[in-house]
Amino acid sequence: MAGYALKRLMTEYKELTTRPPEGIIAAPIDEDNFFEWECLITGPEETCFANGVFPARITFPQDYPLSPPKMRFTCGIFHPNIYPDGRVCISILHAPGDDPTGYESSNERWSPVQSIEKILLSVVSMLAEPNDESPANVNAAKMWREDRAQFEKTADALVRKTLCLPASEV
Amino acid sequence: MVNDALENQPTTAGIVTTTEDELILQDQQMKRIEDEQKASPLVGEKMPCATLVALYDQETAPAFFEKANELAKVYSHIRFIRGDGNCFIRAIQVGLVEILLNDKERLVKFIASSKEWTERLVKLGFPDWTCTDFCEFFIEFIEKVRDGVHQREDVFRIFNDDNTANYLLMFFRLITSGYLKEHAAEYEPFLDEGMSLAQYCETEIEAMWKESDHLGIIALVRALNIRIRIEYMDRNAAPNGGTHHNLPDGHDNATFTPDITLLYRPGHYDLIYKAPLAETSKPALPTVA
Repeated sequence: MAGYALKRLMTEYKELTTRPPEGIIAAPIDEDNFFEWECLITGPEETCFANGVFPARITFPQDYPLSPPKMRFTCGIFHPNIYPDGRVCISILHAPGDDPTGYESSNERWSPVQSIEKILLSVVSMLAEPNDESPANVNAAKMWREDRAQFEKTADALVRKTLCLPASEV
Repeated sequence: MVNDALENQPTTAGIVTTTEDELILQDQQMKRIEDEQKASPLVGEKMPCATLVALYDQETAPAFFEKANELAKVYSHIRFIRGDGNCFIRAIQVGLVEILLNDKERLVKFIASSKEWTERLVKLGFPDWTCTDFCEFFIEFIEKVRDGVHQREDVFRIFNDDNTANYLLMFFRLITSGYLKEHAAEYEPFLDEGMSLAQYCETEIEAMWKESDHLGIIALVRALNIRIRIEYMDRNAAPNGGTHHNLPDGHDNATFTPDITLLYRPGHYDLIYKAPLAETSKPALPTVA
């Protein structure tokens, strides 16, 4: 069962441990189950998410990498491209044709030669540059567009929470 | 080289017909294909062409019934392929490996060219190990065929195992994409405006369960350096209005000897075979001179 998928996930794990991308840690939660991963993503510098460390789960299908994995933040992150329940909604996590948000065709899609690393790097870019054209969280998109100061305040509160720091006094 | 008429052939999404009867026929066809996708194996057993004839009713589907009978005069067997969007590529992969099972010399050459393809893909800038991983997986499989580790029955068991077959198929998707990228100047003009060849390859060729269109078909045929014939069940679908189409183009129809023959029914490909030349249980497919 799932021979290729398992082998591929083990290779990806090895790649990610030997050559980890900056600010990202990802690993299977349990070495007996390579289809469920946990990762920590550092908020990109010079953004309102800077310094935060955001935990997320990645769930792989049995036919990975033919089908893409799913990713969900577990820290209540408020962001235009993340559903209120934490599910990440970016184009690379969708196969072409499977199109819940009507992305433009120029966005990178899932294909079996993509990798976990590519997904995580896309997620970091998404944190830095929200796409408010096709939001997963309409309130977050609206605030990002209309009240940037409030959006940044909300992000800052989350950053502090992920670092176990007291809330900002401002 | 890419025929204009071929570009207009119907796909699953678009139906190109005139009369209501034909529309009903195609609806039935699509329904049948959907049912088939859920119920049938990835690669069926080789069946007598009478199986194809039996699918059509002389009263309700006279055109297809007649065509099926015509085909049954020329072809002896059919192998149904699951209609899951991969059918063209799967049919080619199965058809080719069937030839290679009986032609050691060609098998050895094919392995060498598969290894060359791995290097060509890397040179084209395909993501390093995620791409070569698929190449190595396929080469390992085909080398086991060469070494007799995989006998004929093993090959067909593997082709019917979802956990393996679809990963083997990815190699053919990648070389199709690679061939298009190597000949970008030639093929890019055929794409819809605003779409780059790289995007097309990523979303239409490299992604699983995406049906092959004319570019995907010609690129795979050229990447593998094979000759194929496509027989059309529906005369409207054939380029030049004929009953079949040979690829690559530019060969004399009379002397063209296909390695693999496919039957095209709206939105779907299956493998068809001529009667064995000699009395043998093995398929006596002609090989390229």
